[in-house]
Amino acid sequence: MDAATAPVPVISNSPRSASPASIALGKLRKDKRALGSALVLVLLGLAVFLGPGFLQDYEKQILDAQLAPPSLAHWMGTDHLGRDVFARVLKGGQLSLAIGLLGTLISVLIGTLYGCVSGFFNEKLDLAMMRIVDILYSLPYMFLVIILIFQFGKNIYVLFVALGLVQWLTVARIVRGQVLALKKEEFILAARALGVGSFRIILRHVIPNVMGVVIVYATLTVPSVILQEAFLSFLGLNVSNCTWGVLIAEGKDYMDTAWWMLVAPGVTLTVCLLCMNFLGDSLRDALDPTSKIN
Amino acid sequence: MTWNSGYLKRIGVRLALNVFTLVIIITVSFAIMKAAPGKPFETERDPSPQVLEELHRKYDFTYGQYLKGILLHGDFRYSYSHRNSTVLEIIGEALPVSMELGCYALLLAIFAGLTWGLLSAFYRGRWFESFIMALAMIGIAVPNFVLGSLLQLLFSLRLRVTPVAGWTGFDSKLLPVVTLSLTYIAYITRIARGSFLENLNKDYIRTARAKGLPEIRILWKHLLRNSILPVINYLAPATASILTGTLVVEKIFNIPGMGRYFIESVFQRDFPLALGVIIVYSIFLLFLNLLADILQTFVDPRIRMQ
Repeated sequence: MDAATAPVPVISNSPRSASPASIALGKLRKDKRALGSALVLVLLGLAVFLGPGFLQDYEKQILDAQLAPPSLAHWMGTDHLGRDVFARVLKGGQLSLAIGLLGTLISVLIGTLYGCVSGFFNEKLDLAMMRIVDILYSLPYMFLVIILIFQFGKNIYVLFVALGLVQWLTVARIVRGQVLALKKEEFILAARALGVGSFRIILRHVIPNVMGVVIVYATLTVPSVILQEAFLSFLGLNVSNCTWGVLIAEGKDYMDTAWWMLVAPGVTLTVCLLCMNFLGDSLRDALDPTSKIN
Repeated sequence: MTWNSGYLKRIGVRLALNVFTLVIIITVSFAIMKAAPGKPFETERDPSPQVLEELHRKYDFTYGQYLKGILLHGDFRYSYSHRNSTVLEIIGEALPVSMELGCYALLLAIFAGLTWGLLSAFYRGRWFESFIMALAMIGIAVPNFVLGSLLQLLFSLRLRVTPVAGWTGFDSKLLPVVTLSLTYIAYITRIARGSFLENLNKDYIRTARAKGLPEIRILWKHLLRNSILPVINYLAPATASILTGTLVVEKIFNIPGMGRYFIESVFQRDFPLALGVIIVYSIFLLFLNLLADILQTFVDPRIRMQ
């Protein structure tokens, strides 16, 4: 390929400047680690939500095959009650992934709204709202979450409230910082001069501009919510009797005779968290305008 | 370094705010605990009124009594599940164990994290750096309860080189400390590497080299001091989450620390003990946050001027 026909980098040669999103996508597309992680996560998601339909029921007990090691019939062996571990790992992933995504969504919504209001209006309100965040930050929240779930029952709504209550704090802080900087920009001033109302400015001008940062933070929040749910399940505060945390706790009890019961859910959870962290990291690099375009 | 009065005043304000936060924590925990149905002394057969009155006198209390007892007399009441022990006695036995575990883990994390961070900064762009950073990423992703169980399976059950559980000799402390510290080693490695890389190219390092200072002195006196601030900033949140980490590590390795007592007390509805553990943890948390702030100003005097 000679120089004339070689593809030129879009960013440096295009007469119009590329949008931040397209620059980020361009960077991501060249990031092998991010692509690999995304692929693994997509496969994991498909397996978790479609897989259990093709396997035997995750509750079905095969009485003559208790604690059977991995084989062609049972890829990850069977547990102490003769249930297929592979089917249970996939089934357990449904709850973990759903809680990770929904919990993140809730906390991002609350946090963004709170941060916008705190940063956008007057200083007194900002000070008061951030003091509240500071105080909530210093609560030993995992302990409160544990007593909350134990006292109000192991149901999924309590879990959402408990995990959501914690995660929005950081989002609120990040968004507020961004809004404080944005507030002084000229386009906001221009919108004000045109008589646009505060609420509309936040919705149309502020929020789209903080979305990048929020998305990056959200991708890193998903694994942390999944981890916390697994942590609670492991301690016995599970909302369902088939989650990754429960499987790991059961596996730990039987690890001396059936290592696969511990290793299968443990490795699946770790790979899932690892890929999400990789993806979040790459996304942060891609959206960072100061990082180089390779 | 001199302490100006404005700075001391700010610490005073922070301390007052911490007491206020502590009261909020006690209130919230108390409310959650009381919200559950059922009373501790409801049984099938009714005890005599005298016995009941005696029980209530020893074990029952209102929010006001409790708060006053804690703040004025440091009275944490009696435990429900451990007969005839006060909460303070139980915590007095468990706290040193948890602190030992937490301190070892934190020290290991700082030492190993800084070492790996420095190495990866020095070998920048070589395979060794990618290797360390990949390890750090895995270290961040592996949940400590998975790691702890796997280490226990490998070293205690298969290789039989360490005891399965307990907190007695060096060999029994090794696995819990490593389990607890791994995540923080990984984080500190990443933070330290970033900070070292930023500072390695600065003029003052070149000047120090040009003066012919030995490399070890440059590292110790110039580089480390200037790049340590991000690591110190990370220490306060790290210590807070190490406290949470002890919950699960103490459960896995059956260590008689605060975390294990907390989980037990919650499941047994031992209300005063759970509350007591939360309060002690919170005091630690608030104190450590304050300490981290003060430490920052020692390392970087510019912060004090603001």
